[in-house]
Amino acid sequence: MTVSQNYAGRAVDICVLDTSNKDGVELINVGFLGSGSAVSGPYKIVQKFAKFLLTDLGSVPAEPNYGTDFIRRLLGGQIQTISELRIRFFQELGEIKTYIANSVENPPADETLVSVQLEDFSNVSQDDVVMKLRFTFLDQSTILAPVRISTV
Amino acid sequence: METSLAQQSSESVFAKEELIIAFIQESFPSLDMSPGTVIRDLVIRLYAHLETRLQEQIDLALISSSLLEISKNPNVVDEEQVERLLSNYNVVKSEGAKAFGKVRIFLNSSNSVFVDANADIVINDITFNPKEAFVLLPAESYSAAPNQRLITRSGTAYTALIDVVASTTGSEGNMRSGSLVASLSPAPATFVSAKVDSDFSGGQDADDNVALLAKMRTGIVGKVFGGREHIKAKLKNAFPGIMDVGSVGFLDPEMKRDLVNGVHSGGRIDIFVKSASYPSRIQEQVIPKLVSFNSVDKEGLFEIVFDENKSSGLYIVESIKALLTQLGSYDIVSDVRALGNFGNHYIEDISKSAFSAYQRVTVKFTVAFDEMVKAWSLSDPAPDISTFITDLAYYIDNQQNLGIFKFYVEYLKLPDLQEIQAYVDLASERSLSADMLVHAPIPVLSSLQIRLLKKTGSSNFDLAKLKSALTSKFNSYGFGERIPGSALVHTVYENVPEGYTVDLPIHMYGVVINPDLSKDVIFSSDALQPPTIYEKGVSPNNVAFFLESDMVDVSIKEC
Repeated sequence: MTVSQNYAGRAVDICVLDTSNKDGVELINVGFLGSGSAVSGPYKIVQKFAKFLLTDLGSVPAEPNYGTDFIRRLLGGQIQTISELRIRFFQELGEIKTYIANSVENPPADETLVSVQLEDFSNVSQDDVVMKLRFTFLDQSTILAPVRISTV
Repeated sequence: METSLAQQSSESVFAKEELIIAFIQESFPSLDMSPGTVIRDLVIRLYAHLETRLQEQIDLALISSSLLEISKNPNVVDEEQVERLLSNYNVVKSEGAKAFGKVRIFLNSSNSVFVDANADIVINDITFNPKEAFVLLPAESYSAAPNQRLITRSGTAYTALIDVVASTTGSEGNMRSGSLVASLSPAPATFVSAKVDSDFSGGQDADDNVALLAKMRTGIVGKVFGGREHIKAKLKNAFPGIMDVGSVGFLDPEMKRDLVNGVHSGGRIDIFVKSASYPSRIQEQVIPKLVSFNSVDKEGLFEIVFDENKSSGLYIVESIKALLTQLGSYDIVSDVRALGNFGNHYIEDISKSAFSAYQRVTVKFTVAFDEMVKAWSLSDPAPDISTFITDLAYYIDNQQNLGIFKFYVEYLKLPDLQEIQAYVDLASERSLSADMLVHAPIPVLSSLQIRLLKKTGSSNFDLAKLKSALTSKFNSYGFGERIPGSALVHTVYENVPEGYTVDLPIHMYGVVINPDLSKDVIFSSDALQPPTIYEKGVSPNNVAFFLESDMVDVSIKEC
């Protein structure tokens, strides 16, 4: 996920999920970059999406409905096949999209999420799986964001 | 008292988040703090949690600083803040005190035994410990060392008294005379049984917020010997154990000491101090005087003269017997009250000083010769009646120094009257305008009858606990207050499980012991009203109701 170099006039968030600007599959690394790192535009929405998807439902005391069961099921061995993974992902997708849509009134076109596709799912190592998600926004821009999930 | 982060209400935290965001957004409109953003979830929310905690503490401090709020919810306030607040009104929280008293131990021989200082003595589920390690000894080994206790014989039993102290603070430790010791561990080898000898005293509950609020009223009143509330405040401040104070003074119809040709002249105040929730029942061995012996009826007439300590605040002598194990009492044929040394107080006659620190009590009682033999305390066997009559003059002349007859007397009195009178008379404390005489209140010794209807299958409950709750409620009413039956019914429902119903009406009885020792009976099913009999000096200003748990009759009918 890129760090916006010019965020003048944009509503910015802190960037915690980082990828480079290179083409191809990139891993999203969870953690703060340097101080003052900010993100805006579609990457901010991708971050919002990934954060919701990867947060365990019920783990945020002040917002008990925030998050999904996706990771818990994956790590708990309840998702064994690619088709099961797709089913579970799309079960959660609607709620995440609704949450993002309701979080901001009248967002700009490049922050208005239209669709998310699970393009690929693969093991990159014995302990990691990678999901490739394609995000499409109202301004027709698309982002292919790989999400690495540690299974240990 | 603090809500953990996980237990904070999500609505409260969300509201705080919105406030914080609105505040930040004014200066930093470009920050995206919409739901799901990192700034909101990791920064704003954590701060909102802390703000929620701070707000909760501020709210608690504000509530705990308001007498109105404390009175509404006395149990959900910050204890420390309440103490701080009430200290502004000269009210200090009592930490409570441990009850203490004497336990009579019955042994099967006069052999010396040891009672461990750490022994657990359980009475009505309350644990007591000996005040120190005691050695119980027969007379031949007894040297009156502080930790020695003399084993005496009473009929076929051997007994000794030990001092005990409750292991925890609280008024529930104030055991009544005669309460049985359920267990003594470790017990001496010759131990048979034990019971409370005289009423325990000194046990006080630590103040809760309700008690502190009740204290506040006296806390803010000027503590001077002036009006009724002021006198009460001054005495309760000096003697924290005092339950209530009533005063009778200028122009009160029941005031008799200031009458000059039937006109109240003022300058006299009678103070009636309820120094305990119930009078102490005291049992002790005495050597009465054999006044005479009726050879025809074979009956001795004895006299007990109570000294000033025992007479002070004494209501009635309940029983006199030769043996501790004896039931009933010998016939008390007279109870005469006289005036002791009353110093500079103006007391025309004994009727004006009833139940005061200055009354002196003398009772006479008759005992048949067969019973007198049981009270015989000399090592030589008691003589037969003909020898006794022959040597009567000798026995009458030497009875006191020989201690020939020893009886156990049990009497009811309110404690601390002498100390309170001494305080009232202190040069630094006393009123400069009135002669103040301290009395125990005119007692209404009460009883209560309640019938409960039990639905079949309902669980059982602790009857002793219910009786204790009822007596506690009953005895909590102050001077001038009536005792509503509805409050007692409410107390019952608070202490019984579901399935029980109070079968109305309940019955409340009271025996008023007037200052002239005459008795009147009052009765009610609705509310027991303090009686008003001005000619006997009885009024709501000086009458106190007393109920002990033995006088609470709770019957249960299953239906």
